[in-house]
Amino acid sequence: MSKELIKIIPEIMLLALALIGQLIAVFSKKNKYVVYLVLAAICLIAVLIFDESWQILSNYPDAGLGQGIFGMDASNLSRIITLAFTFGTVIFYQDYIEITGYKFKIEFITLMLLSTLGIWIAVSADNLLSLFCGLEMQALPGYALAAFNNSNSKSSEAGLKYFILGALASCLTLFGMSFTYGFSGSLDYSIIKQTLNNGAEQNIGLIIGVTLIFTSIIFKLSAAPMHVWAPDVYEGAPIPAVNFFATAQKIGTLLILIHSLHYLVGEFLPVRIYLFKVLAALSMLIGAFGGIRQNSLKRLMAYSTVLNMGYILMAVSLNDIRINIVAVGYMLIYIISVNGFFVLLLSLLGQKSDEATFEDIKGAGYSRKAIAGAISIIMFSNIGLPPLAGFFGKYFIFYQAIAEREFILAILGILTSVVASFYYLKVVKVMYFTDKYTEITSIPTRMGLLILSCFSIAFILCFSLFGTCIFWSFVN
Amino acid sequence: MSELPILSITILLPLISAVYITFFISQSKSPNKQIYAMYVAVLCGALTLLSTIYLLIKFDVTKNSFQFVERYSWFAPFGLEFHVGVDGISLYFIFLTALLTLICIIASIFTVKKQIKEFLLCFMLLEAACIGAFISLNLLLFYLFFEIVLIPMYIIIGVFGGENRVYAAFKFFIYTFLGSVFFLLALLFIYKTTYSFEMAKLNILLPSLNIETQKILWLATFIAFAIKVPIVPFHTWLPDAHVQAPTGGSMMLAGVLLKLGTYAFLRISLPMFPDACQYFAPYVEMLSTFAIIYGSLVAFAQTDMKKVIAYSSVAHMGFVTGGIFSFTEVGVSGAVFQMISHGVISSALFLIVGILYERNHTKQIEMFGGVATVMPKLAVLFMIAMLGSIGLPGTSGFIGEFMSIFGIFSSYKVLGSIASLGIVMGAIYMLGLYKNIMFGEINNAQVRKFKDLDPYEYVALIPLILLIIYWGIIPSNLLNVINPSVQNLINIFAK
Repeated sequence: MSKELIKIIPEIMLLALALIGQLIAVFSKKNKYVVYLVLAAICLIAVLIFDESWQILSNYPDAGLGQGIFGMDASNLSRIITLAFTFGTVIFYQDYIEITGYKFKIEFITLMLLSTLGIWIAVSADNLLSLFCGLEMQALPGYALAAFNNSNSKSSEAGLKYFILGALASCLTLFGMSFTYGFSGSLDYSIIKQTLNNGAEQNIGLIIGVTLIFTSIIFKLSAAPMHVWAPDVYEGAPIPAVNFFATAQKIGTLLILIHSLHYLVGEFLPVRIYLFKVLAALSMLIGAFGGIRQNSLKRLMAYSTVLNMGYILMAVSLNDIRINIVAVGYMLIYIISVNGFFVLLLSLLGQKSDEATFEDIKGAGYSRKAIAGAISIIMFSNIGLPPLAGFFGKYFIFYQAIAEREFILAILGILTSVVASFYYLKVVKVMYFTDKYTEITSIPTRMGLLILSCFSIAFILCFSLFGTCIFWSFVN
Repeated sequence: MSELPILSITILLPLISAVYITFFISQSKSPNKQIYAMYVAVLCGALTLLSTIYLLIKFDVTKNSFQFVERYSWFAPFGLEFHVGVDGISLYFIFLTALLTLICIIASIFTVKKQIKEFLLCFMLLEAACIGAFISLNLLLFYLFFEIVLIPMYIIIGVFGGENRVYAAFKFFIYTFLGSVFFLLALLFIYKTTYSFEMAKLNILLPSLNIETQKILWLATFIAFAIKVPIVPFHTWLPDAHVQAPTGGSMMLAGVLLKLGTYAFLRISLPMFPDACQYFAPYVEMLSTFAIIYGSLVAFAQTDMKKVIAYSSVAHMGFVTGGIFSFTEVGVSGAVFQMISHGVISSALFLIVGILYERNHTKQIEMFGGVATVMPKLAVLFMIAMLGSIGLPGTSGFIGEFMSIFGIFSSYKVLGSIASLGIVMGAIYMLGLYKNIMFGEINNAQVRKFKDLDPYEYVALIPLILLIIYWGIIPSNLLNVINPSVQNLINIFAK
């Protein structure tokens, strides 16, 4: 009993942190100190995860994700990655509060931590119920986070839309789970996988069930056709919430997807491969063409996310199990650039960043040169221009696609990449190619934002130099 | 021979100065940061030029392999190495790049009024990327530099260009990027098949692929290079990009960037897919001849000076691709010579147009007329450049065009004859342009106020004109360097 509890010490600690942090905040005068406490505690948990990995290394089954990365197994890796992005978002949140002067309650942090906990639970799930609990636990705080800004009606609208669509997706998932249970007789991953792979072509009910289970996951990933929430929620929610949705939630959901694909579906082709190929193609098309007419920067990033999720689903849909590393790697690269973008947007526009449109950043290339240069680097990386990190991400993914002779998807991928380059370039254009512009009022530099953005830009620029070490340690 | 890593130095110099201009100049205490940046840029341009001249001097024409080779592992899991070297074909291209960059900088620092730091930064990046592309011996490295070129060019056209610059910048970027992504797919397929990006290895491994695979790969790379060259009908980005770009941008675009495409044909398409090249050669030759005639005809109809020269670039690159795909030694050597000479000639022409634009603030030909009476020195230099563009014997243009047409003619008699008509047509629009601008009566009162060339304009223009004459009279220096490497290339087709 206690041995099993040791394995979930990080989860317990995270839950305790969320609750204790909430309690302290009720009694303390300034929320700021609670936030710093949370940050410190997150670091502590991270250290613990690193340390624990040595102890239980031999006991834990591998998830086909990455063996031996810094001596960690898959679920510890998932924990660390999501925790890292939550950490970044907490820093982001604190600076957001101080820049805009909104009086957000501490529940923001608590909800984020609980959402991360949900991701952890879902990633290490072994049967459908745990998966569902994890998915819901991840989703529900997200709905509240989107609606957090009381003074903005767009925020409430975003939260409402997210909630309704998310609830629909969860319902479909639950429906799928009940079908799966009905046709396979168990909620356990291993038994379902066995039933699925043993001549289940006749078992339409089971196929439908398992496919529908992924509805919620696809929804959280904002891949087509479950992407409809993304533009509206990204536009309305406060930027720290959007940052959380775009970074920690995405990478967590990808890890959930990979884990459940490996353990739940195994090699069953129609679900494992064909489904995701179609989703990938749809996402790429919708993401590329949807972003062209957008005026709001956050909606633009939403469509850009849909496009990139298309690439990732294309990677997930390939045969080789090592592709998952590539997908996670690409997701990391993309998320770091998205994170950087939101951080820079906040540094540039401050309170107006929630409503940021192209008009707001017009001429930024001349009035705020460093930030505009950094945003340009992020945009060029997203287009996929060497030697920036985005190029290597796309390179890995398209290489695997070509290696599996997925020519149609690869060609679709590159063509949509060219289409999407239009709206990435538009950001650069609006910042630099104008003669008349209004001076953007200067926002005082905040250390947290500075560190986050520097990390992001440095990563993008220097990936070509040190990326090989990281990549090789992943594959081996 | 010293072990100095001269090629790395040649690439690093512009990069270091770009970084310096971006980050360190703002910290400096000098009163005028713009002037400081200009000094740094000119110094760096001069140093890079010196190092390329050093390469020219130290290059050994008798050796049959790549020289000054350097090889550092960069991203080994995916075959990316910093593997660089020069041979006879690429040697003069890096000289051309360095020379043109220096001249562009000199020409631009007095005309670009705002944001000169960003301008110089873009130019340094552009120079580094172009030199890198010409010296790459690793296919992925070549692709890297091929793509990096897009970023500074986009900024140069979009920030410092004419009225329609945003449209031109987008068109340039997206059109060229579209071609490049097909190149990327071809690259990935090549790596999957051979697990190597080293051009020397690929030259041996790829020709043994079956013909269907070769054809598809050839087509994928062809799209990328054809858009870059540009080959009609993929040329529509060129007039907009050239006309809207600032003078320095147009000079680099016409002088160097177009050559990236044809250089890629020589380095990649011909050695690696020889059977596919043989298969598609007639079509490419037809397209080239069409480009020569079409470019000349359209150029004749233009009212904007810069557009005339832009379309003349399309026509001249038709000579180049025609020469390359003739697979004869004379044709390919002529094509390479034409590339280099066209680089110099069209840059000179764009510079002259830029000088005229500075005087009159318009590019419409009708607003000029009789300029020769007020600017006699410009008239002389313009005449030499214009004659070089036509291909008058005694200018470098003649050698290039003559050898290319000779090559086309040896393989395709009819197309060769039609192509030689192109020379006459070249004379038609160029002489027409010159006459309308320089000769005749002064109809526009503004013209009387033109001052003749400023010192910096002399410094920028004279080297180019001198090179046109020098290479026209003594082409052997250039040809002796080019010929051995071309011979190596052609031997693949001899079997």
